[in-house]
Amino acid sequence: MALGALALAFSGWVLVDRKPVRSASWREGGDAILHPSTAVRDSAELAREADRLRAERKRLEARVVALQPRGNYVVVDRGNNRIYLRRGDSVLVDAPASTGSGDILQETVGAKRTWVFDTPPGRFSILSEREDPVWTKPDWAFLEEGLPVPQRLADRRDYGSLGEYALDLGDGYMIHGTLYERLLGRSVTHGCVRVGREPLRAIVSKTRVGTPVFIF
Amino acid sequence: MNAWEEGPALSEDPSRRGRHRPGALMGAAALAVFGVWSLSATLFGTRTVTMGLEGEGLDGEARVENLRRMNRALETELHLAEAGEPYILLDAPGRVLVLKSHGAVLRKFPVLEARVRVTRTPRRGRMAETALDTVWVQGALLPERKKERMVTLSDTVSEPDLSASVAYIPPTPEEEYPTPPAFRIRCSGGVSVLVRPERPSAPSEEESRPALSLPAKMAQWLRLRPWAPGFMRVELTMTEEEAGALYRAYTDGTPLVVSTTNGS
Repeated sequence: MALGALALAFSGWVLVDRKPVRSASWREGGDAILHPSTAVRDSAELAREADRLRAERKRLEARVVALQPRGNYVVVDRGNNRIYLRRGDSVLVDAPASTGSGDILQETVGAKRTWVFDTPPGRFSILSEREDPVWTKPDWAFLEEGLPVPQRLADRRDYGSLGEYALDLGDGYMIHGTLYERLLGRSVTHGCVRVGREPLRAIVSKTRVGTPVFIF
Repeated sequence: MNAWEEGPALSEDPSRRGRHRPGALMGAAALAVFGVWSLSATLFGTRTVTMGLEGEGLDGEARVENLRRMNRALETELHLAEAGEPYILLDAPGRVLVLKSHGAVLRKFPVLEARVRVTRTPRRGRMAETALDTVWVQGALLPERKKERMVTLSDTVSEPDLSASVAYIPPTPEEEYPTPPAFRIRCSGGVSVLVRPERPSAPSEEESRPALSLPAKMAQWLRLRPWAPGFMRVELTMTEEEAGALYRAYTDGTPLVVSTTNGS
């Protein structure tokens, strides 16, 4: 048994991936870890070097800060079905949300289109804010109910199902209210983000057109 | 002689083979478990890299080196923030794991305890030093979170039955992907993060569930692939809630930076 264990341990050792962690784009300047500075000798030199590095640090920190959103921003956590309104390190709103179900609808006749009901990840911004929004139902909304797709635009109008407000993110995706608050916190939507009445009111009151929205 | 006795694999008396099988299987299983344990113990020994190199109390040269490392960590973050994809920053001294994008904080996961374990071999130990404050890429979650997608064909759908009283309600993320006893984010190049949720000590609903059988426990352990090659492992202890949230939020491939430096 001991021999077997030794053999296993040795085979694991042989099989160990020996590639070092090196990613060309991120390793610039990293060699200093492998070759610690030998140029720095006396305390005056060390002090000068430390001052230079502190100044460099401030410059880098300023560049990172410059990339961050300046005001409030919305964050959607698809894995946990939550929505946040943040401002830097502060969380202003933390509420359950509903995101895409991940289901697939395939059209078996005609154009044979396929829809994947995912909430897309990425950085978006609020393109418009609408009160009492009217939903113009797309084709999939009829196909998944076994109904014929109407030809007239008026037959696609749906009043009330988006709740009090809709924040448009583009490509048909929205953050909006819902009639089905009991489903909040579950992955049930066709890609939009559904939010309860009170958190949505709070978010709308603290955002405007152009506010960044991060979905991960 | 029966025909089936002639084959080399079936050369012994079948009744004897039946008697020996349980013992042989148990022996093989014990050998495998011991082998994996010894392999793990060989590669990940007691050498621990101190996390949180304090600027105060360091002599001049060490302080300068600390500043250099801090700047490198900032440069790394700047690259990631400019790239525009989400990334995870493990701030070991600050005991927090932060998911960020474009420099903006998306979510923070507090860490109760963090430590780095590296292989005992000298060359790999040096490689581990280079892995700190750099980007770990191609991370993969173990055990993986499988998403099952339901496919509906449009011609199979009928009009909804509005009289139906019970509609299907899908599970919450917590129900669909409960917090595993432990999970890993394994990155390319032999580095990984092992997350252990801290279970509440008070009697809870968890304790009322039936205990896992030994095979189930072993299966769970093996899903973490303890034999996978590597030379550096960051071990994190988090609350069960935060660990579960991280497990459900992590997307494979998200770059990870482990920062072990703090202000001077």
